[in-house]
This record gives sequence, C-alpha cells and structure tokens, in this order.
Amino acid sequence: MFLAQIFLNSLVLGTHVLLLAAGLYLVHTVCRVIHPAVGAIAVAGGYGYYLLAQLDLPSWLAVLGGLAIGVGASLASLALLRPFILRQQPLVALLASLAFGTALEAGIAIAFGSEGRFLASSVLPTFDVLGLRLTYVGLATLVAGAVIAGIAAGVLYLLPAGRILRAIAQHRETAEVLGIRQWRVQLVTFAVVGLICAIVGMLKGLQTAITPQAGMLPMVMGFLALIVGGMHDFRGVIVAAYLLVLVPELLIAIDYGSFSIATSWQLVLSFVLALILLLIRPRGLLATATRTT
Amino acid sequence: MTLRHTLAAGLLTATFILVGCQSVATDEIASSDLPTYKIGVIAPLSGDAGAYGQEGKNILDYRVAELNADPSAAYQIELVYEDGKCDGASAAAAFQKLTEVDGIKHILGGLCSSETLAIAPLVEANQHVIAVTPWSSSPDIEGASERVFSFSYSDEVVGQGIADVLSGYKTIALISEQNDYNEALRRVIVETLAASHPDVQIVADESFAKGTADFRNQLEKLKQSGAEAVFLNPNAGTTAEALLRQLAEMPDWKPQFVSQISYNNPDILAVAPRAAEGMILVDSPGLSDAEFVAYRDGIIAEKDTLNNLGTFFTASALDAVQVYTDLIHQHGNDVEAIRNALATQTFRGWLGELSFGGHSFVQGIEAAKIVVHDGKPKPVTAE
Repeated sequence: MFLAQIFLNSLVLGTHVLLLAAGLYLVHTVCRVIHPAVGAIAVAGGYGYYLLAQLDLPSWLAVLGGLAIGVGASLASLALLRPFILRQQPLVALLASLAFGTALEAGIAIAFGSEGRFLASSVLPTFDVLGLRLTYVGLATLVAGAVIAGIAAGVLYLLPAGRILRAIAQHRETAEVLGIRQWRVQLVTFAVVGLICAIVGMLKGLQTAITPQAGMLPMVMGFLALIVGGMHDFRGVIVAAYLLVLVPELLIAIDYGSFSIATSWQLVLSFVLALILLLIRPRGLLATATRTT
Repeated sequence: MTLRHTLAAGLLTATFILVGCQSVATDEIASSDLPTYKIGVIAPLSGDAGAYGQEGKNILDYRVAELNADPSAAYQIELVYEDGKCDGASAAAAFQKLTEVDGIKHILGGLCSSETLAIAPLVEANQHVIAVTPWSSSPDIEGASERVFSFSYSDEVVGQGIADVLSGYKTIALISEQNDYNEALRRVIVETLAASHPDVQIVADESFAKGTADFRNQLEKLKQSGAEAVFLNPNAGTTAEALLRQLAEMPDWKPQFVSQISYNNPDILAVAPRAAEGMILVDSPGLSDAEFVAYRDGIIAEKDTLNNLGTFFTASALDAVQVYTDLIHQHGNDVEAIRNALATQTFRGWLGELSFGGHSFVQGIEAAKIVVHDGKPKPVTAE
C-alpha cells in the first residue's frame, strides 16, 4: 500500500513534467528550438489565476484569466524568438528563451514578491482510491495529463494537422514549397503551448504552492524527458517523463533495512537514470533505427 | 478697514510667519547639530522570510523614531536597510555594500542565522566593524567572531529542549529543511539524543531542499517508519504552511508532532488547526509583562502585526537597539571598546538582566514548552 501511494503521488508529479515536456516537444517540432521559458510561462499562468482569485472573482473566471495570461506570455515569447527561428539560429533562440523566462520570473517576483503563494484557499480535500489517498487537484492533474497527451498524440499521429507538424519537423523547406504556412502553424503551436503551460502552473500552484522560480525544476525535468524520450517521438517523451520521476521516487521510498536513500537525492537519480537510458537508447526510448543518407 | 490697517495686519502676519519658520529652522538646525550614527540593518525584506524581516524593520523603525524624537536625545540614529533574503550570499553582499560603499561600522543583523553566519567571517576579517543581531540563534554563531553578538538565545537551548521532549518516545522521525538554522537544530537534537538518550531510535531522518513545496512522498515515508513522534523542522513561512497543509491531508496519521518557532504562529496554525492539535513546540519564552505587552501593542497599532516574531524577538530587538545605540553613543566608532563593553558588562532590558559573559549569546535564557490547542499556541506552565 505504501509503495502504491508513492506511485500514485509520483504519477501526479510526473504529469507536471509530462505537460511541460509536451510544450517543449511541440515548440521543438515546429521551430527546431529548445524553449526553456515554458517553466516561467507556466508560473505566469499560475499567478494569473492567483491574481484573479484574490479579486474574489469566480473560479472559472480565474482559470480563464490564467489561461489567457499563459497564452499571452507564450505568444510574446514567439515574437521574441521568431527572428532567430527564421534565421535558423537555435542557440541564439535558446538564449533568447532563457532571457525571456528569467525576465518573466523577475517581473513576477517584483509584482508579487518572492515568497510562495497558495492558490488553494484551504487544505485540499482528498478522496479514497482503492485505499490510496488522492487530492481532487491530483485527480484533475492526472486527467489533464491523460487528455492533453492523448489529444497531442492523436493529432500528431492520426490527423492531417499532425502530418503538417511532422512534415515541418522533417524538412522545413520542402514543407514550405508544399504550401504549408509555417507562421500560422507556429502561432497556433505557441498558443497551444501557452495553454498547456498555464494548466500546469495552475495545477501545481493548487497542489502545493507557487513561487516565481517554481517552473525551473519541472522545466529541467521536462527537458530531460524530451532528450531521453526522443526529440522526434512524442510517445517516447510520455514514457520518459513518467520514468524519470517514478523510478527515483520509488527507489527513495524503498526500505533497504539499515540503509536508505534521502529524498534530496531525487534529482541526482533522475539524471543518472537519464544518462543510463541515453547510453542504452541514444535515439530515444521508443525510437526505431532509421537509415541515414 | 483702511489701507494702512490692512498693510499693518499683513506685515504683522508676515512677521509671525517668519518668526515661526525661523524657530522651526532653529529647532531643525539644533537637532541636526546632534551627532548622527548610521547603523546598517541586514534582514530578509523579501522572500519566504520577508514577513519576519518586515516585522523586524517595523520594530526597529518604531524604537529608533522614539529615540530620535526624544527632546533629551544626545544623538540621532539613522538605519540603513539592506535585504539579506535569509540567505548567506545575499547577506554577504549586503554587508559589503553597507561597510565598503556606505562606510558603516555598526551592523544590526542578520535576522536569519544563515545571514549572520555569512557575515561573521567578514566581520572578523574587517577589524573596524561590529555586528549585533537581535534574532539569530544558530549555535554555530558561538565563537564565529569576537565582534558578533546575539541578543537571542542559542538554538543549543531549544535543541536540548526538543531532544528532551522527543526522549519520551521510543522511536522518532525527523524532517528538516536544508538551511543553516534547521540543520544546526537537527544536529543538536541528534547529538543530544545520542549522548543522553541512546535508547531513543531515529527510524527516519528526511531532509529537503529550500524551496520544496511538495512533501507528500516524504510524509508517507515518515508514516511508513512507524515513528511515535515526528519532529517537523521547516523554516518559517511558506514551507512550514505547505508542510502543515499536506499533513492535514493525512488525518489518519497521528504521531506526536514536535516542532519549533515555525509553528509558533497563529496565522499558520489557523490553516489546519486540526492537524496541528496537540503539537508540542519548543521556542523562546513568551513575555507577558503588562508594560511590555502595552508597548508592543503600541507598535502593532502603528505598524502592523508582530505575530511572526512573537514577544521574545520583539523584546530582544528592542533591547538590542537600546543597548547598542547607548554603547555607540559612548564609544562612537571605537568598535573594540563596544566589543569589550558587550562582552563584560551587564545591561537591563525587557528580557531582564542581560550579559554575554564573554560569549556570543546572551546567557541564561531558557526555552519554553508550548502546546497547540484550537489552532493557538499556549505556553505550558510549570506545575
């Protein structure tokens, strides 16, 4: 029961990582850049919800406000990155994204202070799942993760829109010759990423507390999941996101008798696991070998 | 009224106004003739401990304004604040700015032990600066510098008090934040138990990084350990509240919770009063002297709540300001003379007779045991 509870708690944590990894994946697929500002955009969405909730507005309005702020921040980042995307300067775009994320975090810290904020006004109610305990926010997180990952995978692999995205990822110039308007695709992608990030920010803030820097660690884990899962394989990213959280958490939870692994080793274990997986499957967890010309 | 009368009235009015301005100017000139001593203050004005720093600032501003406004004052005090952010790096930067840019010789602070521990070697290296902290309590401050003094008790006292409470249980678990104050407290508890109560078994000893907000898996691990008592050792503020909220999600888990100052705060306890019910806290003694309570109420009425710092640290701040400013006036920038006076003399303040006796901490302050009941901390009176 104990390990099952750890597993369930870790699934919630893994879903935060998955959703940010999905954002990183979508941006990379469409623009061939790594966009670390997704962490800060998630935090912006969370603080957007917090601000509107403080004004005593109904929860649904606060959620809409958080989503709108997430989308706005994401589209602002697109405006900043676009020149570097067009010039195919991924390193400069990475720097620009880092700068954007840092500036966004600093702005949030100035506006709200750097101490943590609780989006939930009181202790979270929990319910029983086969003898395991889960908060309603945790349940919402799992459902959101399943729905978003399911929709993303469905779009990417089953729908024409997904074929367009994969075409751009495979060969941008050919996609353009075939009439795919990349600017519109980028706009829609960044808007969707903004929505996803805002959802993460709000769920994380409700589940625990939110600080201006709260997006940094999930973003790093999401980036790790993207690398380990395979930058061109969303299914691998889903598996990697959960593996990189679940395995370390379970290793830490296990009782080894007189020896135990402290929780502060969690990040180290995630990185060690990532290295091992990259050594075994360097192209991605579920990637198949392809012929290179 | 004739023109002549109007002119005369106008001239008289102008004369009175000019005389009034002159006397005001004279008063201002007179007060600015008094020597002004600058004291640098290092405290967290932002971040998780910002609420504590802000209350400390309120107390210092209130008292210094009183001292400056006293017609019999022989000197003026100017406080120069820098944000220590409750971390060593920021406190060290604040110290450098105050001493090297502003040329200040006298430091009040840090508030957090991590701030004071960071500036102690800098004070030691700089022979012309002295630091007095009203609040820092890490036992590592003892002997850290000859010119750093704390008007607080040492956490050695609190740690031994907590170990005393935990010694009543066969198995205990600890969860501590990775922070100078919390780690020092944990170390004192573990060492005291090992030395004096070796039969007490530590079945789980968890730690978490500063900024952690999700403790659910760690709490499950502590629950799984089956400990009879659990020592909760977060730093004050958001971390402590998050930990309590997540404890409240586990109502079926009822070991004896023991903690420290972080939960000696009705505002945090109000978030989850049932989870905190019966929690034993070991903290500084409270002050209930009527005159002090009235004085403190005056600060609260003018400035804001002092719930985070509580009565003891309000008193220690007031005593530190009084003693320090008196010594500065007597000895000016002769930090060696001030150091000797602090190390050897006895002073009188809200906390009673205060003497350092050659130590870094004020001697003779004992910890108090407090029990949480109905979301409020209540001192346990001796039988």
